[in-house]
Order: sequence, then structure tokens, then C-alpha cells
Amino acid sequence: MTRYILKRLLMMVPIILIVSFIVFTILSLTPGNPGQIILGATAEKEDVDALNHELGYDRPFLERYVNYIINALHGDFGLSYSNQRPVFEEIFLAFPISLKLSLLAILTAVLIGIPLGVLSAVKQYSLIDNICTVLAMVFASVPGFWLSLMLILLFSLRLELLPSHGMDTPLHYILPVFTMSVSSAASFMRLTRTSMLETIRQDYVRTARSKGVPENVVITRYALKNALLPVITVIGSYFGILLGGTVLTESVFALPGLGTLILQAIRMKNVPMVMGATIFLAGMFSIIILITDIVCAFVDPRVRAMYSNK
Amino acid sequence: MTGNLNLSKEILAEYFGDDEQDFKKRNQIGEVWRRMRKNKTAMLGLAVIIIFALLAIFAGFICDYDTMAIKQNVSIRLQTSSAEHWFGTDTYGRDVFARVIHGGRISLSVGFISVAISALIGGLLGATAGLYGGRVDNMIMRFMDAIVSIPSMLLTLALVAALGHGIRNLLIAITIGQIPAFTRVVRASVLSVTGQDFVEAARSYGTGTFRIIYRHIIPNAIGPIIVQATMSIAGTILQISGLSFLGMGIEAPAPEWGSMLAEARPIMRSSPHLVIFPGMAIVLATLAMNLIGDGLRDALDPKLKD
Repeated sequence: MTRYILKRLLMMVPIILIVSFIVFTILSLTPGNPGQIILGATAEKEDVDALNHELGYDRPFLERYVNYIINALHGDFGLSYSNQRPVFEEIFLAFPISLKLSLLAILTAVLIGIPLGVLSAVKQYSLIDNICTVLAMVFASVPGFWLSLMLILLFSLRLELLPSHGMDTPLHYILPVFTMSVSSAASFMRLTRTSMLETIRQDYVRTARSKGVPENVVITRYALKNALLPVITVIGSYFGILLGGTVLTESVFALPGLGTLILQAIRMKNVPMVMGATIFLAGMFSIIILITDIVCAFVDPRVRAMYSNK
Repeated sequence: MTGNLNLSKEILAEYFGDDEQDFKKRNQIGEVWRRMRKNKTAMLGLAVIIIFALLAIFAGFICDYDTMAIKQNVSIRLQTSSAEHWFGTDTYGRDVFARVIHGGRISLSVGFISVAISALIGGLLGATAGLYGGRVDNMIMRFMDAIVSIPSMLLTLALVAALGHGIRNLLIAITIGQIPAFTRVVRASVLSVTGQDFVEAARSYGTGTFRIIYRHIIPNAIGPIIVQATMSIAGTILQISGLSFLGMGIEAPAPEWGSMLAEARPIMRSSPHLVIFPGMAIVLATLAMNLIGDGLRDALDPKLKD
């Protein structure tokens, strides 16, 4: 198992390198130069050129990239163009907000999606199953930012129950977390339903029933354990996606998270900021997927056995 | 042996009607369509998307682009729904219905075209990875892993910033983000087919690689590709509107669902119709594509139907 984890961590290195190269290439295609951005539009051309030279911006593309990687390996990801602070300092300031939102959202999605999925499967083709299935389909198709607008319109502007922006009190979290969780909840519900329907038709479940095990125990203790295995993998990848996709929610609710930071950085062509944040998020994504795989191995003895044999 | 054959013929006759000749002629697509037609929600989705497509294609005939969707007419600003302006008018007195159907042109065309291109590129890469295996496979898949681990919104935002605004650049940005999904789908179906006995059998007859691809791999991969494409179009529609909502997609004054929402946002309290109608358009188009995708998946995989 340890060997497997180490191998996976090693595999992350080329992926992060490719990510950094892709993003570096895209950013170098973006019009504008750092000297102008740092000094502002009114700066003298000589000053701009001097600063560009100092930053190494006038060197060839590959040399700049290699320099960036060498510095990054020494833990130096550069200074943000907008305020001359180390980029990771900025990232660590903004990241907790996005992390908190994503964690709460994935938790909400699990708490809504899985029970409804189980209920739908157990009562297949009933009224409640039909309602849940239709709602899940609809909510999987609703853009989060539009849902946010609608909820703000209803709960903040009309009913004046919930705040529409900022994050001072727990009440502030309700709308952003809910809108972020909705499409994941819909996916979890659909997946749990399908998986549960497959599981409750299996022989061992029939055996349990014929032994006289009460139906609710059959569902919760026997069927659910196996039915949730495919759901766990999906929860992991959705969490990764949520974490990287907070930009729209943060923009609607005016939250100073990582998404907002990146959006501003992209607009400003703040290269070190975008690079740092992308590498950070890509690393987080890979680690989340790795943790998901490990969790899967822990809960499924069959998978665990596969690793220990190797 | 004969007993078995008779039995399967009976089953086939029951399933496809008595006409045996008819069964032989019926191709795969026809069969999928038969099963798809029984799925009411999928047909509803198809109907909705056809209506959207027709409205988008004939948008110019229904409402003139320049006079109704673009030209400002402050004397009739912020009207609610009426017989003359079905969805009301916006801050500049432009007809919201006209803007919604012209906006559909952008969302649907960018959605369909970008998915078609990414299916082609992703499909070729996936087939190459699956067929050649080893080093090539490893290289292609690691590259795809890298693209996937960049949050898709971030990738498209950065691409739009690099390439500049406009439909063509939006199309390129969105296409790149869609490629890995197709690469994975096609690679998986290539791998699942190449290991099977019938391909082995075809090889043993001396069938060439190209013929195996054409006769065995493509027919088996096409189903998953179509399902993925339908779902991707739904995702693309959401993504285009999200980008425009952030001001990084289509530039004003061109009508786009997402940018209409962004424009209407400050005044949504007094004029909720300005956020409701474009939003409903996004939801309906996305929902329709998702319903079709679901229906197709069921129709292509009879095992899922109980």
C-alpha cells in the first residue's frame, strides 16, 4: 500500500510539470507585459523595459519557463504583480474560503443526494422515486450562478431572510453552499439510485432477505455498503471539481476566495499568481483523487487485497 | 444446437416482429432509434432541442437582429411581458425574446461545433492510445490527466484571456477543455473491443488493422461517443453562459444568455423577467440535451433496462 501511494505521488510530478507548461504557454500568449502591469499605464517606456529586463521577461520563452520551474522547485513561485507579495501567501489567504465552501457543499450534497437515492431505489417507480428522478435531472441542468441569482432574488431581495453577499455569519453560507451543492447532490442521487438498484437484485441480498433479516437492516447494513462503493469515487472527483470551480459562486456572492483571486489574476495577466494558483489547484485535485482511491481501498476488502498482492 | 438456434430465432421474432427479413436489414442505428422512441422523456428532450434549433436557425426571420436585438430604444425600456414583447424589454429597450433566440444561435452553434471538433480530436487520440498502447498510450494519457487536473473553468478563462474575446476564440477555448473526456471514452472502448474473441477471430482470417478499426472498433465505440457528446453539449452550454456571465465570453452588445444575466443582475429586483427568461433558456437547453443523453445511453445499452 505504501509503495502504491509513493508510486502515485511520483506520478503526480510529470502531471504537474505538464500542467505548469500548458498554463505557462497559454499565459505567454496573452497580450500585455508585466512591467506595464506593475508600473501602470502611465509609466515611462524606459522604466517598463528596465523592469521587464529585471523580471527576465525579455528572454526567450523556454528559458523563462525553465527558470520558473527551477525557482519553483526552490519554493519561490514569484511575487504577485498586483501587490508584490509572494503568490503562495495570497493563495493561502484566499484558499480557506474556497475550501470551506467546497467542503460544506460536498457534505450537503452527500447528505441530500445519497438518502434520496436510496429512497428512490427502494421505492422504485413510486411517486417519490419519480419526483426525485425528475428533480435530479432538472437540478443537474441548472447553472449554479443562475440558481444563485434566483435564490438571492427570493430569499435576500423579496423575503429579506438571508444575506446576498459577504461571509460574516453562518447565515451567509447558506445560499452559496446550497447552490454549489445542488448539481453534485443531483448526480449523487442518480448514481446512488442506479447502484442501489443493481445491488438489491444480487443474490446475497436475496439470501439475507430469505434468512428473515428485516428489510431496513437488509438495505442499510447489507445493500448500502456495496452500493456506495462507486459513489465514493464520484464524491472524490466532484469535490476536486467543486474546489476548482468556485469562481462563479464566489463572483455572484462577492466572496474573496481562490476563484475570485484567479479571475482577477487572469484579467490582469498576473502570471505568477495564475501559475501558482493553477499548480496548487492541480496538485490538490491529484491528491484528492489519490485519497479517494485509498479510501475506496480501505472500505472495499476486494480492492485492498488487489494492492497487497502486488 | 438446433434447439438453441430455434429458441433464439423465436426470441428475435418476438422482439423484432415476425418478419425475419426485416430483422436482417435493420441496422444498429435503426434499432437504437426504436428503443429511443419508447423513452418519453428522451423524446421530450429531442422535441425541445429541435424547437430551440429551429428558433435559432430562423431567428433572423422571426425577429430582426439589428432592429430588435441590438438597437436601443429607451422609450420602451424595462417593459414586462406583453403581446408585442413576449419576454418584455431590457434596460435599453431591446426585445428580450429576440435576444434570447439570437442568443440561442451562439450557445447551440458553439456547443455543437466545439463538441464535434473535440470528439474528432479526442477520438483520434483515444484510438491511437488504445491501439498502440505502451509509450504512446502513456504519453497521451498523462497529457490528458494534466488537462483534466486543471479546473475546467480556469483553463477556459485563461484561454479566453490569451486568445481574446469573440465566438471563434470561445469555441477554441471550450473545445480544448472537452478533448480529454472523448479520449478516455474512445480509448476505453478500443481496449474493451481489441481484447475480445471476435477481433482475434477477424485477425486470424488475416483482416488488416484498418478494416478491424472500420468494421469492429468504430461501430463499438460510436455509442459511448454519442452519449458523451450529448452530455458534453449540455456541459458546454452551461460553460459558455458561465464565461459570458463573468464577462469573459461573448462581448456586448451581442446577445448571449450568460451576458444577458450579468447585465440584468443589478436591476433584477425590479425587473425579474430579465433574469428569468434567459436563465430558463439555459436550463431548458441543458436539460433537453441531458435527457437525450440519458435516453441514448439506455437505448444503446439494453442491459440497463430491466
